Amino acid sequence: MLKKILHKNILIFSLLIFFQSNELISENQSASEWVEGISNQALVILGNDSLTDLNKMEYLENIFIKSLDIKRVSLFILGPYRRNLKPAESSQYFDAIKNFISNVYAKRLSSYPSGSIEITKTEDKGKRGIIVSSIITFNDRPNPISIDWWIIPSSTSLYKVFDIRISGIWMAQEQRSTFTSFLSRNNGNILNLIKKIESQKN
Amino acid sequence: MKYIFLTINTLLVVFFINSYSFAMEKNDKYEEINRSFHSFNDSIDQNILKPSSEVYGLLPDFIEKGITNIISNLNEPSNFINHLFQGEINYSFSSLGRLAINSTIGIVGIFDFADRLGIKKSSTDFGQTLKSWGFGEGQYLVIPFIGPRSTRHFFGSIIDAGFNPVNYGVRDEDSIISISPSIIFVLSSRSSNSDAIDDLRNTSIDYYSSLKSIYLQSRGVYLSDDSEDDDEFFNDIFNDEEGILPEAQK
Repeated sequence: MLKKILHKNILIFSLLIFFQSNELISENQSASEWVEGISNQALVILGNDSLTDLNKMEYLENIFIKSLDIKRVSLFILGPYRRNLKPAESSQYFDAIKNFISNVYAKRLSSYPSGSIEITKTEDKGKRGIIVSSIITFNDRPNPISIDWWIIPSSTSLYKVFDIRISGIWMAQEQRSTFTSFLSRNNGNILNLIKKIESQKN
Repeated sequence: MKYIFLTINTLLVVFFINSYSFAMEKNDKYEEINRSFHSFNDSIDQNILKPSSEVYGLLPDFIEKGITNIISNLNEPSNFINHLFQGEINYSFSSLGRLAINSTIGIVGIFDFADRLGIKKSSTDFGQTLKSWGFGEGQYLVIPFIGPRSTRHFFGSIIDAGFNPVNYGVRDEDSIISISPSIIFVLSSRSSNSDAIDDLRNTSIDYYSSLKSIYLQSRGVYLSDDSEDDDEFFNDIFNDEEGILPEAQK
């Protein structure tokens, strides 16, 4: 039993070191290498049979918390209602969104098995950022899926993820549809939205 | 013959649908009734489809795969004709080749030999054909028992039903409720997407809007309801050297 716990702790420690070292070498990475790095982190977790589903979720969530440009995404998904965001409620909103979005993305990715990534195209969109297209081939599924990463340069970690398109569906776009729809049915009240997000987490 | 008349009638109706393109988010004129049908479909899904698909999911993988392949093969006549209508000759003949190979060597489509020979599947439908002919999406609709459709896609589906050989070969004309392969298709589809559907349902703050967004994105519809607002967003935020936000929100 003790041995099992020890093994698990060593594994978790190794993963943390792996993530840490990836951040250190990120200085000279190109956009595609950066995306490859993030994807490989996720695929290592998905393929690790000694982790429980809950552990996998936590690690994936952690990757998203570090890699997503939460503030940009948070504002984008409000659509035109971002103008309703008052400074007094903005930090409450960002805190709620940070965990919500990372949790949603992690949940949706955690059902995939491990596999390998191949970068197929990199498209510079100027001031809107870079779209890196990739194909993920899974170890035990016949059909690969396409994942496009919309990344933008960041002063803190070279790049941040703005949106992810899985099999043709942009996730932040989908969130924006749900958020703006909710707000339009709630007179644009962002506090109601925050309450809804909080209740969704529980 | 009956079908040709129906096709012509349908085309005439489609002709009168707004034929210009516009942002689909605003195009939910029937939102309240759509939401009612969405709730109805959701209850069917949760109470009937989900448990049935769980039973279906107990089948061995190779049987499930065979069923999926048969259903996929039945759509090849529709793919062939629609690619042809869209002027995509290469894709059209690929679909025809796939139909010929998989129906014979692949034993009525159980095995996807064409894929192994490098002839990849390319799905399309009459809705996409209408798009290539310049018809707009029309309104966003939620159809009972079927789910999300744009007006164009809905009419296209009626035409596509005519291209599916099952509608002629297997359908029992005297029976209102027949054991249709489309029921198996629904179960197969629900079973293979079970986790994704449940996750989406559990994590979305507005499931109706999530499905709508996913449907529209999968149909290649531009989603923004306000492209000027998008431009403003990207200009404001991406021009900000500090990175991110209006001063008040930093």
